[in-house]
Amino acid sequence: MLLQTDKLTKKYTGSHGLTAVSEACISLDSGETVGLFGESGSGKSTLGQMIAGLLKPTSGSIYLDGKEIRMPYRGSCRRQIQILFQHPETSFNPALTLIKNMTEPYSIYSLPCSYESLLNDLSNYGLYEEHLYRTPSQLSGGELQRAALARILTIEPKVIVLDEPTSMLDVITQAQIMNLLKEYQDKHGTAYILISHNRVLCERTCDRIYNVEKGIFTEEKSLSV
Amino acid sequence: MLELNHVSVEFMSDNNVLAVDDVSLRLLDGSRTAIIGETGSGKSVLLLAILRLLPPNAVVSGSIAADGEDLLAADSKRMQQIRGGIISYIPQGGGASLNPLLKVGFQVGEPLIEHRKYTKRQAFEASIPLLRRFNLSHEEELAYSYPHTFSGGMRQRAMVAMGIAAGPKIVLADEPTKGLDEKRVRMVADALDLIEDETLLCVTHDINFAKSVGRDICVMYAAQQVEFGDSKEVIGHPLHPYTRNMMAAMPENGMRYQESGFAPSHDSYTDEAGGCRYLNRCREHMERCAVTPPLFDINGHKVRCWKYASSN
Repeated sequence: MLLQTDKLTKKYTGSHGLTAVSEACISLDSGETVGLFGESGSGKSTLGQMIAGLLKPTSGSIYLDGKEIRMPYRGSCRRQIQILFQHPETSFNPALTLIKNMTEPYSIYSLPCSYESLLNDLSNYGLYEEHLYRTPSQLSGGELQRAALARILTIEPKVIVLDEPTSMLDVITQAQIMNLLKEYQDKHGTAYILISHNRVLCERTCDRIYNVEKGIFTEEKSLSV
Repeated sequence: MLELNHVSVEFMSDNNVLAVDDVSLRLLDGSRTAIIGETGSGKSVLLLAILRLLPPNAVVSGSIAADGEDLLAADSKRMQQIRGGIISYIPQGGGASLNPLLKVGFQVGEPLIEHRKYTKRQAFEASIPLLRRFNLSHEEELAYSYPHTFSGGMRQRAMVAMGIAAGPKIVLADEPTKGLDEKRVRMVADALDLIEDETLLCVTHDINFAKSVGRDICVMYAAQQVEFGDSKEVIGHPLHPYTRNMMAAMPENGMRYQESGFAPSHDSYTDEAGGCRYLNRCREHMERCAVTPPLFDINGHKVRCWKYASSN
């Protein structure tokens, strides 16, 4: 098993004392796509953010390759679990051009990068030289989401949390993003956690689905897509 | 009646962008039209052009008339009366447009103060039945609540209530379901169903939602209107290759679209070389597509594609 959570819980203190995620036990294998399906506010994004190391769990554990991982994620652990957000514009520094935004992971992880190889990689995502010197506000939602995806894939993570990656996009761009993800998964065996409130999209793209209601995660019967 | 004739919108800057290119629509009283298309196709800009809410660098050409009144010629005082009084606007974003510091009842009733000379108290009281009309139960309590206590669907329904508060004849809704989950999308669709007498023009990228709220559907691509017709016809028997690909790309239909490449950048619409804007992505293109096709009318179903030149 590539990734597992054991009774992962997130409680918020305060007057309401909300339990956003209650003892969630989910598992994920290499090359697998697992869906978290539920209404807004059901706790699916909270679980995704805990797995991605952006939110500290109140209790419970997360295991990657059988080893427990804890916040803050560092080194290879940080690199192996990535997240793609619903609003791609929030993933980029608004003051930097796309090329500067795109080359950040290369410098963080000391990866070799040339202008030609970057252009070549980006062309697979429908992004060309004309896009590189624009700031995020000068790119469309679809272009930004493809750039965010391309940037994540440059560091070859093992797990990607896809937090409503297409809910702000039109159907063709949605299909393009999901197809790009599928192609990459087939080549590299990357595992995806797809957070979505679109039932049909989950059924079409996921190997397994967890239904989420008021912080409680229940696995559905196996789906054959 | 709302009539748009050859409306174009161009944003002037170092790199001029043609956001809307020659769109004509005739919306009869009580009609319900949904505009679908991808991000950046000009849908929202078209709505803002109707209300003249675009930034100063936007140049609008053509004509826009509401019940015969030329909106592009109206002075700013008259436009203030028209906005909310005759034509209302429901913005996108799950109701994020509500002021977080004001009680919902006050905000829903505010158009009545502006357009119907209600006092603050009268407007607040009038907001309560409006909230009830859109199935917001415990409406009195909700009127006294602040927006952060509402869910996204409740906020968007409150925005619909605000939109129709002053009794406008025409309602423009801009992506009222963007980012909402299925249950909340249904709530907004139900709320828009309750608007029966007003003319509705709704922009969305959600095809299922467009089908449920629109009797007619207009498809926009790269700033142009590429298809228009009865919603059952456009969704059941789409003519334009782009519309057909949109239907095929829906998860319900297996996300099996037949297209090459990705959407063009916003500023590439200014390309003066002409030709069909969908040419580079279309797998059915032919020699003739190097020339921009007109909008062909096939028994009321309009389509901008040379494939239908002989059926016109």
